[in-house]
Amino acid sequence: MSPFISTASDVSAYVVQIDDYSRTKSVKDGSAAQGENRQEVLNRLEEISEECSRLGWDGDRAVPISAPLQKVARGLIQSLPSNLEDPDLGVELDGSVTLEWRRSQTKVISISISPDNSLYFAALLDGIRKRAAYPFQTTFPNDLLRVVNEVVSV
Amino acid sequence: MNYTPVANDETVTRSIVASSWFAQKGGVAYVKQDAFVPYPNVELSVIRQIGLEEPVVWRLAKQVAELRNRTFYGRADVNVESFINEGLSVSPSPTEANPNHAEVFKWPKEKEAQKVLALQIAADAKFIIAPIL
Repeated sequence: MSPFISTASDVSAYVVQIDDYSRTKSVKDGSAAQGENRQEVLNRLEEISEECSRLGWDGDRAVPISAPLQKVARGLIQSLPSNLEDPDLGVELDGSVTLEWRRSQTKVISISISPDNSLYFAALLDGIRKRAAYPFQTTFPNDLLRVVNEVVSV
Repeated sequence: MNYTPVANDETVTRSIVASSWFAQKGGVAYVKQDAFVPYPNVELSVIRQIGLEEPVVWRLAKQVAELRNRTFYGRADVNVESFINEGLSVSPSPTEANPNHAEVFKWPKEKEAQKVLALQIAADAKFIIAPIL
């Protein structure tokens, strides 16, 4: 059955077959292996920075990922503990780069590296919600990494 | 123009115009919170599905990308109740191009607070990859 003609009557189940997934560009499986030099993640950072390099990249008023922010994001990604699995990268409309680790839809953390020189995170931990903001640092704060570990630990 | 109030049992659609707004894990594709964090206004554009046939929903979702010269990757469908449960509101905001346009508002101003709501909404959403239209 084609997933494309399914109705939206049950939006609690967010399952979609991925038979045609391969025709979308550059989407890697989120079940990434543990990173060594994070080269794949850094390559993905280049890709999304290129994709979102123009003001209004969403066709409206989205802010591009700036070169300085890209550099900061690169440094932070490289500072991740080597035994931590790779994050899935994203971008928000304000030009933030996001790092996401996900075990399920109820066990997930997203960290925004924001152009306003802050880190923002939010997490769902099987019914518990956590969120906080931090000023920029050259590495991720330890208590933030602890939350990441809470998400990725089985 | 559809100015009728948005009911809690309606479904709305967010057009997915960035490759990093969705991912896959274990063979399942899902939409990420990135698609739901509003900027610059504390409002989020969505399409009301009420009264629309499935092909029209697809056309309007694709139109969002086309009008903006963006690649159209798919759509994220969300029950309005998901927004309401997070303390948000959805109001009609029809436009010339999209009579079923609506806005999600009452977002908190703090970004980390917006993100935690967006995580839950993304968890509730159904991502459907775009067919070849």
